[in-house]
Amino acid sequence: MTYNAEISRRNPGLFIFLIDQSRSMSHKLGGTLRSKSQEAADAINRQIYELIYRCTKSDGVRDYFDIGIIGYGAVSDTAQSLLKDADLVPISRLAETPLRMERRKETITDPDGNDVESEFEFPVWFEPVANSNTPMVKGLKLAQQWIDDWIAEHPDSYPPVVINISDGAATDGDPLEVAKELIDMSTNDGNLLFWNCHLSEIKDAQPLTFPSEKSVLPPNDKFASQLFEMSSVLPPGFKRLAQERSLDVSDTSRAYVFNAGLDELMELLDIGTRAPTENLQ
Amino acid sequence: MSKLGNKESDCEDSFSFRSREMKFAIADGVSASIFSDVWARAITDSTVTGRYNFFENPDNFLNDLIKHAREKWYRKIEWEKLPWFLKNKAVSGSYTTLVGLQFQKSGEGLRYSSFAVGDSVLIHWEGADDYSSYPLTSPEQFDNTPKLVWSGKGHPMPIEFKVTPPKALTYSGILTKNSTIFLATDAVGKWLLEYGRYAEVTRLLNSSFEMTELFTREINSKRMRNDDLTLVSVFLE
Repeated sequence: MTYNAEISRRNPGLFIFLIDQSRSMSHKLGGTLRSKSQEAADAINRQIYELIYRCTKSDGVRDYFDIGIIGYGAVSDTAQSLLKDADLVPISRLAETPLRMERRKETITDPDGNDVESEFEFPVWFEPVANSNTPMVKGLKLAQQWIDDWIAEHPDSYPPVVINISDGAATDGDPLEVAKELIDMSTNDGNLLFWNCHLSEIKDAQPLTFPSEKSVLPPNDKFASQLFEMSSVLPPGFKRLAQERSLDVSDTSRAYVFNAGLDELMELLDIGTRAPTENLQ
Repeated sequence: MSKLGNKESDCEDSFSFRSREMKFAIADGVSASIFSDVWARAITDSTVTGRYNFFENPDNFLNDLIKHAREKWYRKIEWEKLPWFLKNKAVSGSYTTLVGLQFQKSGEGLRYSSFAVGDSVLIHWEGADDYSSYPLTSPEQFDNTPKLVWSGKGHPMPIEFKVTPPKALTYSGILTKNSTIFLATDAVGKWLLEYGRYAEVTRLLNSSFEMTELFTREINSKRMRNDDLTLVSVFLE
């Protein structure tokens, strides 16, 4: 059985988020009023918040996961860690060292059943950037280096999960080869899981979530076809979560969303991070 | 005992008793919420120290019991000093199961009445394969979504917070000299119902070392789920 390892402080899991920071990420995300870089940064900040929430016990945040965030394209032809002075960090360190805190509002139901607005502190770990070209290959290679070391230290852990969010083709070569090398990396519990999210800026674009075949993608879109090939086949636990949300998935569905708007981006991030947390011990 | 791999202080189960009133309570704090250990302790303490008559319908006193337990839970947590990640999660409140048990003297032994919310169980063992259990009667009934007792929201909601009490199930019987009542949280309760090792457990009651060894073996062999474990036995001498 694969993807079955218990995730514990002794056997933590690993999430790496890769974010495209190229200039085109400053364009508005389809169906929203904000840029793709803003929505992507916000979505990943929220996802890290959710992961910390799930790892929080009365005595603090337990290190069930290591986390890495890589940005590519903030500086021309460069990929780098977006965490200050660190690459992979235990999740408790992220909880203790946000870049800044924001005051946000939420609605709570009071004892008399009335909805009241309440403020809470929301952490931000990285800011949106949209600056240069798209050195995705460099980003993937940096992730590969980190994962290589991590797997050597955690051979029995739940396999690493890598989530790549991008809006365009790589400008530093073909990422397919290094993506395949990534997917071939494994722990004793299974192969690395590589998720790809293609952000859209087309207002009425039809998103495709977890497609099963390349033929359903636009025939002339080489980038879509490439990201499909780069993505892992959804393992059963993830497939079940997708089915629970009434998504049409099959045994050959890929961990890929084409032409994603905000809803699809959030769905991909949530499903991509939720299945491993069901193995928390 | 705590889940294997955790510290003793991580245990979120609680057990309280008052021998004079012959009242007992166990609770299994839910680990998906935080401060569940504090909540489980508050609820078992309030169950045995409150002036509640378990022979009455629990609908008559659960509201008051939860109100008092909430006050203990709320006051125990230093809300203002919590870092953001604890504060943001603690506002959702804590959850626990509960079994309360009270005895009264009766001609034939001790008459008892019990109420329960969730999947902690009472098992009345009368020797060999003769037992009854409630609120769950077979190992297949244990699942991951039991009914629970909620503390209500945490800060910034005020300490006065109306919580709708869950519906408790009741059970009663007579404890005689040749029988034993076990109160157990879910993992050990399920294991007892599945493998029926009541006699062995009874034999080990005076040796926590041997009991811990037995449970550790059972967890390692996957016959028992790795979880916080609480087992209480009550019998007449």
